[in-house]
Amino acid sequence: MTAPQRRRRPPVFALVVASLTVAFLAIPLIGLLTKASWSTLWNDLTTPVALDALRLSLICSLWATGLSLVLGVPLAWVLARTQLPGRSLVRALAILPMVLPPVVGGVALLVAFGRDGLVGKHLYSLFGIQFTFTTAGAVLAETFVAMPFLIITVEAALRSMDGRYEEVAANLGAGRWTTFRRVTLPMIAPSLIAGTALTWARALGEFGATITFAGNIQGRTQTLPLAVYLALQNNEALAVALSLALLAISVVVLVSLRGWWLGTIKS
Amino acid sequence: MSSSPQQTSMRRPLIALVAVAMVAVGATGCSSSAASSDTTTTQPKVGGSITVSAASSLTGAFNQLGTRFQSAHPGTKITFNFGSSSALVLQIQQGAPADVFASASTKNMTAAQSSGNIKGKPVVFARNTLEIVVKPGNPLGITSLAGLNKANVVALCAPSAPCGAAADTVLQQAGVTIPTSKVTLGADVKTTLAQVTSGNADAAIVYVTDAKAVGHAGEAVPIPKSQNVVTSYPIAPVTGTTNAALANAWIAYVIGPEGQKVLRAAGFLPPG
Amino acid sequence: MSLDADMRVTVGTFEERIHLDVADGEVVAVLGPNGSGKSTLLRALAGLRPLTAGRIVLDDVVLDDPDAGVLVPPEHRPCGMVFQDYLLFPHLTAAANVAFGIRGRGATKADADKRALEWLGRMGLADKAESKPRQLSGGEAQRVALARALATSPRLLLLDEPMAALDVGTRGSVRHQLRRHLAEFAGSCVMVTHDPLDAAAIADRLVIVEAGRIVQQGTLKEVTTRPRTTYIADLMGLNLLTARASGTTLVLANGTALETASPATGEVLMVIAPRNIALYLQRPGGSPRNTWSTRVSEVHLMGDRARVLVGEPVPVTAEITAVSLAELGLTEGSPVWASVKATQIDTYPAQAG
Repeated sequence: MTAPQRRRRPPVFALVVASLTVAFLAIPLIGLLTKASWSTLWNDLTTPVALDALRLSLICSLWATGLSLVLGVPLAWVLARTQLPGRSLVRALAILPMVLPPVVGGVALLVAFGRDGLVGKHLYSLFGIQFTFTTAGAVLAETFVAMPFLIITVEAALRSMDGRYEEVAANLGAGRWTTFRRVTLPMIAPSLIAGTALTWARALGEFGATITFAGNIQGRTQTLPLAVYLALQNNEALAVALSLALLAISVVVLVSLRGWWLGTIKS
Repeated sequence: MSSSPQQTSMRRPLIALVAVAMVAVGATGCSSSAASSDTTTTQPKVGGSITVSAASSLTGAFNQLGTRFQSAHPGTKITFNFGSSSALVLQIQQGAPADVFASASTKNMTAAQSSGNIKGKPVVFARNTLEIVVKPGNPLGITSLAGLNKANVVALCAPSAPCGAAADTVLQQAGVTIPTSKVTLGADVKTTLAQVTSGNADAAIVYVTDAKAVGHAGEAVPIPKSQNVVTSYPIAPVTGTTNAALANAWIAYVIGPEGQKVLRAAGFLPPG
Repeated sequence: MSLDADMRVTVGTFEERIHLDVADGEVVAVLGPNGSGKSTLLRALAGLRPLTAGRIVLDDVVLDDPDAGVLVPPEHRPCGMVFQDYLLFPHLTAAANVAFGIRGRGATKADADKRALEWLGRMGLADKAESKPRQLSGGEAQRVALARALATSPRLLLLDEPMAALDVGTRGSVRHQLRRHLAEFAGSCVMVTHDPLDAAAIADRLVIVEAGRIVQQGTLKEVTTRPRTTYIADLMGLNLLTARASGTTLVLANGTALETASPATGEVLMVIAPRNIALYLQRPGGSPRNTWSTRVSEVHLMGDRARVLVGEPVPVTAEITAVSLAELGLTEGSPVWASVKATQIDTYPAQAG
């Protein structure tokens, strides 16, 4: 006699742990919400400081994400698809900013790209380019810290992708670039989008490297996290309001992106 | 017992690293620091813009002063770059286009001077001193530094932060040692203070200006002058400034009656 | 002669050395065990792996010649390829998959789309044009892959294990269709397979590759009736032994003598079909002269037939009915008598040619 097939339920243990994890992630947010002064929230968020920070955060994080794509994807491709010597060293170098405390990353950037820095002094004397106290500096700092997330995700995707599809494309008359654009990129699209989202989120939350390297100037380098830090000095309500804005932006973008991305996989 | 600088610098490797980088950069950048004497503060017509790199504890007061200065001197623009004094020095040493440096400690100002990044002689424009902050209503009845031993947890700034070094001195002068197991170290004065206002620590030693900003979330307990230390806030133009006139005008404004009034309201002590 | 390829490829310590001529309209099947170098051969022809030495010439155009420094990259070779597992681009529809190659050869998008639909129609897949590869059956996917390869108007068509990804049940009909489509193809075709049934059904000529060398080639009949290596003999299900012949007597390496009907001299290969070997529990009386005592080493039941492997002095496989197997009660290690008629031993010279 065969027992009727019972529907498999998720194990209780997994459910318990999952609930605890959700609580662990959600409670700090709730804490932040209880700290908010709702009556002044709108006024706080429409002050010039807050608006500047919002605008800069969006601009810088998007630029950093774009730069990461332009610089990171080719590197990921080289790491995944070529046999160049020293690749493991380059890979370690590429993920170094992930383990480096961001403030140290900022110091390193300053020593390298500051106006008197190793490379920075030449950039300044030859082209008049200067990063410290400029929005470009904030973008650079965010890129430095966030790009590893893209490189790692894309390289892993390229590695797990069946490389024979690229041979198929070549056999069908496609050159390297066409193959990359019409075969490789679409095939790693889910990972590319996930990596881009991660990179953007990391850039949006970047604090240490930005304040150290680019400085903390309203309207120029003062992104939301930096504004939160300063607001903590003398206006806690503003700090909470800005944090909530930061959270809201990231949640909205990540959730909508995820919906879209799952959609592209299914279709 | 009381935490030694070596121990804690290992606990905070990143600050140590920053410090090392600072020293290294400072040593190589040590060149001419010819003291020029053009800091005369007449009332010339000033214009243009400057960037003031200031310690973050000055955020409130300087923002207020900046607005007032600009309306008093139409056509000028004061831009602030707030951060930790040590990071600000590093930026300046690496060529950041700052015009004025306002430091929360003489140590960082000296570092900037010895690397040749300061023009003329820095002037102290404000001072700060320490206070104990306890939970509202002072449930443990802490009324002195010695009373800190009644606390289960005391929040102090890390020794690498100016407030941490000052707190260490204060405790030494009072002959009070708090067991390391009862001490929590904050990265800066705000995180240290937050340990008390969030109820985790029973007491903290912080600057008067920060204690003043706490409001109802805590209660201040003064430290007697004999046991206390006073830290100075020096200000000076940066060597590379492209608008020395405005830089000097701003410094004069901060030192002057207007500036002092605002700084006093924020809880700072007068410079002399 | 359309394709003339003298290929030498070194992979680590493995050196492959194969000469392949394929005429226009000819379909050549390359058969060989795993690791024999069949796929490397296709990859070299497609330009996905450069030759170490040698020369590939297609229609008088040199595609690869290391000595002369010539190497035409894959995207510029007139070679269509049906890859193993077909490798249809999963993110593109069937029509877009076919159009990809047409565009790769320089057509405009509109033109490529139109011709892709024509090709799918020719393959009986007009209704699948907008399907993604994962919505296609194995046979349909194969036809899309074939359309994709043929749509580029190649002079050389390469098929890499085109049947391996199919269910056993559908293979027969797919094989038949593939044969029909290949018959219309004017260029040269090379198909790699490890299944002699595919080779038999589709190819005009068989090339057997083992350990990087061609060990035998010829028509299906030549290869299947006179295999030159045990790999081919095993594929065809035949027993292959070497012997020295003098007259009608064949002497095996271990000294055992067997009698054959047609006389020969020197080193010969001898083939015995398994069903022509009889097994007995007692020494059989009467006619068969080739009779020997041995032991069963393995027994494989295959439906109503059984293959019984026997050991020395003449290690061969005998095929008997399952009923006989039960009657004889044979298991591994059973003593048994084996015999074969002299007329059922076929011999041919060990040296080819």
